[in-house]
Amino acid sequence: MRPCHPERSEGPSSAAYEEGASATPQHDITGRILAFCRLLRQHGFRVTPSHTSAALRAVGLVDVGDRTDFRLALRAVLVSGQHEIELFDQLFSIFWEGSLGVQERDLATLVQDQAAARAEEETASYSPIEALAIKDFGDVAGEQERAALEEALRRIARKLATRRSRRLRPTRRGGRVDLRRTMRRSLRFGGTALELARRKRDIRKTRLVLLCDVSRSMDQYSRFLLLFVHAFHRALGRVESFVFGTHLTRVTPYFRRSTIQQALERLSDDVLDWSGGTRIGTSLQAFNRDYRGLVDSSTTVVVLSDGLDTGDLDLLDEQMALLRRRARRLIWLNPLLGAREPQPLARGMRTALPYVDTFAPGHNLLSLEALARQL
Amino acid sequence: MDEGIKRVQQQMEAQGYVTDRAVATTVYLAAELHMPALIEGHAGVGKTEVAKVLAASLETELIRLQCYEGLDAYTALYEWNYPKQMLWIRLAEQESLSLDTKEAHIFAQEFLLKRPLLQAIAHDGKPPVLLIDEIDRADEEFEAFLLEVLSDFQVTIPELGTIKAEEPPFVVLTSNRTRELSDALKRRCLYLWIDYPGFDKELSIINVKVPGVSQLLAAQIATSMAALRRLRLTKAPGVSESIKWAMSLMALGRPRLDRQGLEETFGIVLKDRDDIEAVRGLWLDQMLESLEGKDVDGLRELADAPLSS
Repeated sequence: MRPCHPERSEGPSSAAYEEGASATPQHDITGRILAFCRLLRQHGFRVTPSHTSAALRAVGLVDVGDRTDFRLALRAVLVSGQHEIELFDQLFSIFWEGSLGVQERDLATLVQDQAAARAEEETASYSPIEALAIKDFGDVAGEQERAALEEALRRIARKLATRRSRRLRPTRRGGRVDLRRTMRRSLRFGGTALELARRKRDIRKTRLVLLCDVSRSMDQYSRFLLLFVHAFHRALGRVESFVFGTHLTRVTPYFRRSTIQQALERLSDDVLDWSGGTRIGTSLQAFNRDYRGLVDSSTTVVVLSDGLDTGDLDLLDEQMALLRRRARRLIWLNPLLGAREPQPLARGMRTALPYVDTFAPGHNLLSLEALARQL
Repeated sequence: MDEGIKRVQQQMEAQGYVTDRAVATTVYLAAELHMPALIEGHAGVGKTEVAKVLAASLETELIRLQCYEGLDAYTALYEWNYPKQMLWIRLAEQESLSLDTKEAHIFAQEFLLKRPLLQAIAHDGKPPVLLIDEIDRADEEFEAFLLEVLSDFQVTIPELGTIKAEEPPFVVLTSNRTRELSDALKRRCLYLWIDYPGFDKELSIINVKVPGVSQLLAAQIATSMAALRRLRLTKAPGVSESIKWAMSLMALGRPRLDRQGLEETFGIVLKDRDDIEAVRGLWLDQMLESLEGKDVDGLRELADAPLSS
């Protein structure tokens, strides 16, 4: 959601445009453009310093006395997607042309309408699979939808398993013929290729530790997150997984050799704190103490939790710091981040956040897919 | 209007491209600021055309890189001409050259096959226009690689060293938005969204591309297209479909749209079986009826105000 506070101090003023364009010295219009960039930034546009300087150069190339040219030139530089165009035009007209019937109140409505329209457009233009991708796990109802989700999760996992790096490396068998190396070798034999050199794309190896919160507050998400964990076990070789509530349980063995159904059944029988309270600090302490060998400088640690901690926050702080020092990367997926109504972060989450490299939602397929791409 | 933009607009129109000011402004800025332009829009609205017209108006070469899934850096950049190398080695068999000399000889410029990206960098003379078409179809790794190339316009070939563009090419990227592009790429580009044309623009496009078309037929096509695009079709028809449709109806000798002509040419407009069936079943009669007896102005009104659904 974009914040909607037009910059009052820079206030709309048609006079500034009308006179400023032709009569005012160059530096005045420069200042106005900088202020306009600030206004755009306040409304969620990603305007970097290089954008600003490109905008200034662009404006220098067109007839600033022509409002349409001026607007289109700024728009070409400062907009980076179709969904931003309408809002840009509105902000332009407020900032450069005075209110012209558009009041700040209307702008607030427009910003909201836009967000709604965008959400609707996203839903409408998605195929059923894609609609499923943005559905909050908490809203999933019915066996059919659940089955479709599980299938989609498996697809992500398969993609992940076959993800190759862009670099090719020499290999003895398989892969493609490396003509360049073949040619070099053949020089020795007067141009006869006695031996074909080969190369193939490397498979990326990610060493992964997953820590999944299964306390009561996570109930509607944990089933799907565990599916995701299961998918990772299938896709990647070096995965270790744990669940926690008030205690930590290593669940790697459950996922290694069974179907997801069996694994989940046995898990809920064996994990005593399932759907109970949350003590993240204590759980992390157990992890850091008992499994420190699993984490080294090439390990990515992913925590899946809403950060609602009923335990000792100082302990959480201390254990997060410790984990941060050891791991290569620390990712925290919080399903509440994707909620339609933004909520204040839980205290536990605020404590942990400074140590997290990537903080992302984990409430639907799309967010999990985005994570998979980063690994 | 700014002189420069007007000139671009005139040049584009001279090339048979009906343009509007947003397109002309972006093309003008891309040429003057020498910044890459990212053009998005539905299929068939003339995104690729922009690059062609830009090249023609700059009087420079157009180099096109068509993206597809699995496109890799080697295919896009360069490859050695192995058959030629092999032939040369054979020919040089009699000569007592050292291995090193032979090797140096076959890994030289004349054995290098320049693929689009290298061609665009290693040009001599006027910088060309590099069209990177449908970038959304290439994978993210290729996009990252492309970003490297676009940021410094130089390429290192182990055997030859670094090749750097004397003057960077003009870059146009197009995307059908089948996936989101990375922020880093978007940040680097001017942005242009090309929407479906309005009634009058579509009418002039048909007029320019299909000389001799009857005004009534062109207007009927423009109106039908506007209506079709409002339906939620799997594959909405683009402007290129309008042009082909007009050409076909002309070739069939039909001065206006009627049921028989429509039946005969429907496959040109809609390419998806489900779309064809949906339109035929629900909507066709209504459309023909509403086109009936209207002149160009009436059709314009109809195109701007949707048919009742």
